[in-house]
Amino acid sequence: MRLLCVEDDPVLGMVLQSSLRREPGWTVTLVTSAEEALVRAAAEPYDAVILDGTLPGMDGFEACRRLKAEPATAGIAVVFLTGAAPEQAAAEARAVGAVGFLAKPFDPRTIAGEIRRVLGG
Amino acid sequence: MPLADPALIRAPGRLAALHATELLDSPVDEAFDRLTRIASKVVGAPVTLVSLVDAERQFFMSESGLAEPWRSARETPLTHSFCQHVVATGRPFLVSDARTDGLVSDNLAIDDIGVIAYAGMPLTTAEGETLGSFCAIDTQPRVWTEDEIALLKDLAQAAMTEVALRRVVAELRSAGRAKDQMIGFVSHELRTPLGGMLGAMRLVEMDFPAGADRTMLDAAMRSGDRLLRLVNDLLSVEQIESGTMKLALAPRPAAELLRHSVEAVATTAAAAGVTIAAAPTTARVNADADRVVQVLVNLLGNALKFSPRGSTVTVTAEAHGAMIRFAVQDHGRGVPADARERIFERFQQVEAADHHEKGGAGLGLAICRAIVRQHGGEIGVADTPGGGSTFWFTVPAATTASAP
Repeated sequence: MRLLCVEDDPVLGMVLQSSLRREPGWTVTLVTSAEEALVRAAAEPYDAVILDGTLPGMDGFEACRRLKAEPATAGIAVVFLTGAAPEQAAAEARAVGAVGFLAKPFDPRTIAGEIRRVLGG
Repeated sequence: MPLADPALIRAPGRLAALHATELLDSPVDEAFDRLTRIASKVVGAPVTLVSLVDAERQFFMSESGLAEPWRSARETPLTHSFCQHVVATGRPFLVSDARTDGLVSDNLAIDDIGVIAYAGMPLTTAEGETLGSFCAIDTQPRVWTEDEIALLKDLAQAAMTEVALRRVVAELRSAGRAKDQMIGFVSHELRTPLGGMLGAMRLVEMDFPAGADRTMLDAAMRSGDRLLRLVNDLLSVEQIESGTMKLALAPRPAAELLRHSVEAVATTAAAAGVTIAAAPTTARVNADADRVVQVLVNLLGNALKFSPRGSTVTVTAEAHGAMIRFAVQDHGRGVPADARERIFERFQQVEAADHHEKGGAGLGLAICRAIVRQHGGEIGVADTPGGGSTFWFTVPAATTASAP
């Protein structure tokens, strides 16, 4: 599985990437902004985007809306990984077309399994 | 000239000070009414006012004896204001017969309100801004005596003390809100680096060589986990108190909430050698079930922490008028009388001298109180007969109509 992770905090990004790379067959690209994520998603094939909700510049929800509006990227599954209040985050994630959301802080031991569950595989 | 110099009435500093009192258009207030009643009685004037002079009107914070429609309107345009002349000069304004007075002979209050004699004392802030006038009005010509003037001045002072006091209270409240927002902001910001640190440590742990000494890694992770719990708890209190966290109210049997709570602490209870007894109940609450269970689990956890081995903790739910009263009764060493209010504040806990593992940071009961208050209920602690403490709280009962 090819994952694109969008996380602006460098340490969290590194931990996330390092946690997910341990899964056999998963490749993980890390970017730090929504703008960069849109460029990469349009240029390279990804199965899923793991999006932080709050990002500097364009936020994650807007990024998701744009991915879904673009035929070339509309098919990529989006999962939010956010520190926002769960009820609110779930509703917002659904509204912009994400398949689900996961709460921060995440546990590196279980995060890959949770992503797999949300993606329905 | 009927009106005072508008430049003086509308001086920005003066209007700012007036608006800062938040008294304009505020409800009738006994504290000010008491002063006008005293003035009317002692001075023997048919009408007395606490009049605040705004840019285009005078607002009566209090009146005694004023006729309708002014009494209900609580304001007049400045065409009807003698008090503006007190504001313009910042000094007392005395009129024996308005009809022959150079300044107010054409003031509309003479015909419309019947103002003939007037004695107005400035309502002046500590900073020197005159907000209005404390005045006495007579419908007949009258020479105001020194004693009457002195009394009106004293009452004007009393009114300004009241104004200043309110200002202090309002500032304290807003400082409290700012502090809570700050706590919320800091807690939220702390979670990102903390999450990064804990995540990185977990990765180190996952790769830790078998057989290596992990004492220090475990210590670091324990501290990190505790810090995260603390930050999360702080954030919860702030979110509940500020109303950011919404309650999902629904009618539920209290017995179900008791069962879930007891199940949640079963392992801890077994380890502590304490029995938990949930009394049967048919009560139904209209509450956020998860939140009520959170409160119960917290109170049960505390009870277990302070209960002697072999004792029993009892948890009950009973109808209490329109509320359901939950109670967790233990046979521990009780809460000292002087700590009963304090323990519901953030970062306050009873010294656990005989207990090495305190665990929390003193936020559990603060969260409980915030949740209970958001439900419109109350929380408290009493003595358990025969020793120990009983923590109780109330949440709304489900009405029969809302039962499924």
